[in-house]
Amino acid sequence: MPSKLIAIGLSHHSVPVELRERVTFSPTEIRNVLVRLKEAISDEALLISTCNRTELYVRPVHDELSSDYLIDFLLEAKGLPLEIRIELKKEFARLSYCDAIIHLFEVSAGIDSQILGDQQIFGQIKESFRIAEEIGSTGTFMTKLAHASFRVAKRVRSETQLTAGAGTISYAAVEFARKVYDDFRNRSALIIGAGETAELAASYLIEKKIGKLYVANRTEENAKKMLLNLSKEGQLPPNATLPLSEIRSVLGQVDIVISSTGSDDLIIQKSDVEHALGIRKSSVPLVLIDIAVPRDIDPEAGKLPNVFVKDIDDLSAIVDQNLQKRKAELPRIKGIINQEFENFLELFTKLEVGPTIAGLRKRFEEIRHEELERHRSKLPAEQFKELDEMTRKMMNRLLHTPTVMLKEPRTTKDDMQARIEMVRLLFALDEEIKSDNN
Amino acid sequence: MLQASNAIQAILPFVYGTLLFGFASVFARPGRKRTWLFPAVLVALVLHTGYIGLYTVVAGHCLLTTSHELFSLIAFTLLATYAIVELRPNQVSAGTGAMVFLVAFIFQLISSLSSHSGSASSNPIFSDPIFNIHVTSAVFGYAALTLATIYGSLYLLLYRSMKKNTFGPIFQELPSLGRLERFGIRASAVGFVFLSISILFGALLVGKITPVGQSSNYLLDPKTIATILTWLVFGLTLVIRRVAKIEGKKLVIFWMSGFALTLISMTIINAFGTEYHNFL
Repeated sequence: MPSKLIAIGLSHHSVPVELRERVTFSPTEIRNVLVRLKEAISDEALLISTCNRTELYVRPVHDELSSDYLIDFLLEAKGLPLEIRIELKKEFARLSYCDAIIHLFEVSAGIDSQILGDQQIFGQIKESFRIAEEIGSTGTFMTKLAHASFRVAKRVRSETQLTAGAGTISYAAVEFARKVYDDFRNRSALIIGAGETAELAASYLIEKKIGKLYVANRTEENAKKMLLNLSKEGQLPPNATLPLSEIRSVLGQVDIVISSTGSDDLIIQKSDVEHALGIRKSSVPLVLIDIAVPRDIDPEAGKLPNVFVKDIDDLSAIVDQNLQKRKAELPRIKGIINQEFENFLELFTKLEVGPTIAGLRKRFEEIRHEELERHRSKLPAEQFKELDEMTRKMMNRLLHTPTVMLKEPRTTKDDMQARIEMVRLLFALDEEIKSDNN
Repeated sequence: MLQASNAIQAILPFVYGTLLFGFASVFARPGRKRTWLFPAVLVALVLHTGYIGLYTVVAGHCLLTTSHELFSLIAFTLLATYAIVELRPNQVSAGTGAMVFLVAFIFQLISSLSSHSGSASSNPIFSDPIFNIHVTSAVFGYAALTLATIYGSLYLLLYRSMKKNTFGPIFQELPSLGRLERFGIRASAVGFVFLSISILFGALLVGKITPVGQSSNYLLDPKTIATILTWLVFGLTLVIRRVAKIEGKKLVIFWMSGFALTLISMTIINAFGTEYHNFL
């Protein structure tokens, strides 16, 4: 009954996106890998695959299972050419047991993410675990490990400021708008551009329940495509698309504008904003956020009363400030991770120690029984009874110290594991299990 | 009962001080735990309500005959109005709380320190229930309007810091402009209701009271005029928001001007005296 946990993986720390994207697994591919893994080595496994990382956590049944075997397995499953496989294999991180557990906790907490404190990963781990559970790749160990990692993420979110404030420019744009309107439900927004940044900003607005969404783009078709993409993530608010030439007509109807185009010229002039202010029905502020370089919105418009114009540099100041604050939270987060790690090992100790003690007692009892049986015919019944009693007491006394040693709290991270493994090795408990199974 | 009342009176400045310290420290360092702030405000509310109850039983009148009583009543009304307007278990805003409790703490501290300096008037009007409602609701009204002004000031402060790209504690810890405006409107509404009650009960007192100056024209009394003006400004704030759709900074400036008007008129009243509202 080996108690190892092996983790292998690639992440943004070691590999650029052009290599990472070659080992990204879709949910269907994750299912296939887990099924094949289960058939091949019959293990508990969890495969996490996002745009920033692909990590496989395996609890092997056999000691012989190595990290290299798992890396080959994963790369083969992806069907990559040999030269790429050789190149990628060198970049894989290999972690075992305690380091693997702590790493999963760090990933789950969001402190291993490309953007410190990114919480998307938490949902992705949950989804990966759900798939593994569905396939039947999660036993007691993996379930408890996954739940412990969820607990870490929840505690980090509730007990620290890691997720406070925006960590990206797109999110900072929406956060700034939220500092003007905390409730987006009765507000309408105009997104200018249909690129990745614009789509991200739109998705944040939708997440915050924006009342109405307009998307303007030079090619209106792309704006429609963007809305279609967004509709796959969740329900869209009432929306409309328009060409750039018609922006002036809706500017007076919206409260928030986020612009991110590749245009060399200004898209919104100060006069457009003045015109919009003139036809607006209410006197609430107009928020214009320009995350394009070169800029899309005339900065002079920011001098108008009741108008906020913020560009990428302004938002970077917010993001930098937030990231500094997030970094300051790292010692507290590591403290939470250590606490949860200790708790997990304690729980795990109970799970591991119980069967080991039971196995040890069974082994001793078998030997005692064998020896007693050899002498049963040679001794009178009364003496045999005394001998039985004496050997039982002797066995109990002999087992007392190793039992207490196994149960008592660990002094170092790997101490408990080492003790369990030593006892199992010294008394050949795993051999016993194998022969029992045979 | 008197001992209990005195003991609570001595504790109250510490209670307000603790609230001020709690809110200010979270405002300065947003990472700090804030879960205790909501129950702490409730505890303060219960304690101060208990004190007012005990005091009323012991003294036979509400907290309104001496300056120390009035100051304690102002601290309480600020606390109570803040709780009505803003306090929600998961949305405790350290920025606004710090401002409110700074003012409340100062009033309560002065009240507790000067508790033995003044003597209560023997004027029988102080035991008249209508008079008690009239004055208490006036204090509540002015406290709510002070709160509305605090929200208005914070709105303008945040607006300015956002315009100037100053993303420090004010930007980080204050609620959004929209929420500050809502709080201000709520406080104005509370103030308007209480001032309406005060004016109504004040009118009921006409003919019953015997002011020191023997003035009979209560409508020309400067305090009456100032109160009605203030009541009108805050009433108009509520009306123009709904009818004329004036919102945001314009609306905030409108109700802030109401506060300025109150401040100026009260200063003039104090300078020239008021006959009708003098009972001491």
